[in-house]
Amino acid sequence: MAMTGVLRPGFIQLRVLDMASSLEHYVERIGLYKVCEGSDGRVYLKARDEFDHHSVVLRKADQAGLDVFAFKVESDDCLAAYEKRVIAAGVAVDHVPAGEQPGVGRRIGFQIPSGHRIELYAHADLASDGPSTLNPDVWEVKPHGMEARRFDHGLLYGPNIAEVEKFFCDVLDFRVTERVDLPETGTLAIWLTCSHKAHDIAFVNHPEPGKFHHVAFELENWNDIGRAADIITRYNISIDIGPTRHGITRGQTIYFFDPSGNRCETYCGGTTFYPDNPVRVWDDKELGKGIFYYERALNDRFLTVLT
Amino acid sequence: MTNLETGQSVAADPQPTRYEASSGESHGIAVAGSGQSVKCHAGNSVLEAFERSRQPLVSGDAAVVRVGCRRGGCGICKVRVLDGSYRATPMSRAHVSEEDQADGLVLACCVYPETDLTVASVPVSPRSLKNN
Repeated sequence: MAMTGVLRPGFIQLRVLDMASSLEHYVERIGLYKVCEGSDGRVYLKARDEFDHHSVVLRKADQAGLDVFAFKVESDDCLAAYEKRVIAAGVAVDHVPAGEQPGVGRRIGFQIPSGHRIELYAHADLASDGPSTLNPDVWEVKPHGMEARRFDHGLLYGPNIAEVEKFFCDVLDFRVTERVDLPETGTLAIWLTCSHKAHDIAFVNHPEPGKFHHVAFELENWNDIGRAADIITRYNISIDIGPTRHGITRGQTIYFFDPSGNRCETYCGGTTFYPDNPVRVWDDKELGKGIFYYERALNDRFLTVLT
Repeated sequence: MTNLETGQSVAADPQPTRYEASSGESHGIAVAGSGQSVKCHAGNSVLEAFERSRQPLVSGDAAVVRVGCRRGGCGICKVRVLDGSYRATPMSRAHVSEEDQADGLVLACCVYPETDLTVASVPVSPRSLKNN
C-alpha cells in the first residue's frame, strides 16, 4: 500500500461571528451534519460520507478565520515519529490531550513558517451514524443541501512559502503536485498532497501570516456543482465566483462565503496524483487560465480577500 | 379573443398573478464629496446598495468601496458613516474595533440604513487590511 504516514486532512477549526447562521450555512446549505456541541460552545460537524467523528469545528469568536488545520496520521507510532521529525526540524511542538475535542485522541500541534497552526492526530472515534460497511447503500439517510461528501482540502495564505514547502515535503512526507512560479517574484503558490488527490492543502505566498483563503468540500459531480449554485442564489449566499473550473488541479468548482466571510468551495473532479508524476508548473503567461480555466482571467477578489 | 358562436369579441379573464409588489421603504446613501448617491432598499446593506446601483461609484481614482466577502469577515468594504442611523450586524474585530464602530468606521456589508446615510470612502489596501 502506497499511502502511509499522513493520511488526509482530518478536521478544520474555523472561527465564526455568529453560530446560528453558521450552522444554517454548513448544515442546511452545504449539507453537513451536526454531531454535537462541546461544553465550551464549539460545534462539531461531519460530512455524509466520512467515517470519523467529525471533520469541521466551528468556534464563535469576534473575528473570522482559521484556528487550526489538522491531519490524521495512520497510527500512534507514526504520530510519535512525526513529533521527533518536527522537533528535529527546529519547530516547537505542543500537546493537546485526548478528548479536548470529543471523539479525537491526543494531538500534537505546531506553527509552520506561514504562521498557521497545524495539528496531527492518530485516533478518531468512528461516527455513530457514519456510512454503513456491510452491503452498503450509497447513503443511509437521503442527503440534503449541496450534499457534500467530505472535507477535501484547504488553501492558506502566509509568508515564507519556500520554507513551508520544505517543511511539508521533508518533515511530513507530502509531495508538490502543482506550482505557480513567477519569473520575477518566485513561487506564488504550491499545491501539496499526502495522498492520491490533486491537493490536500495549498499555500499562496502573502505578507500577512496565518490568513485563511478557503475550505473545500467534495461534491460528486458537475451536476451537483450546478445544484449547489442554485442553492447559493436561492438562499442569497454571498458568491465569489463560479461555477467554473480550475486549470490548476482541473477541479470543477464554486466559491462562496459563509456568514462570517470565511470562503467555502464545493469541488469535484481534479487530477489523480502518483508519487512518480512530474510536477505541473504554471508561469505568468497562462496564470489566468490556471486559476479559472473558463474565464482565463485573474480575479482580484479571489486573490486578495481573506479572513 | 372571439366567441366562436356569436363572432363577437369577448374580454379574456385577467392573467392570474401570484406575487405582491415588494414593499418596504428605501433610504438614500450619499457619498460625501462626490455628489453621488444610491438607493438602498429595505433589507439591503450599504454594500448591496452599492453593488446593485450599477453606477461607477468612485472617489478620486478609487472605488468608493470594494466588494469582498459581503459578510463582515474580510474587512475590505470599510466606510465611514458621517450622518444617519443604521443597524449593524457583527463584523470582524480584526478589522473594526468597538471604538472604530462607535466612531462610524464600519464595514459597508454589515450596515443596514434606518435613515438616509452619508458615507465617506476609506481606502483599504488588500495587502495591508489592518491599516486604514
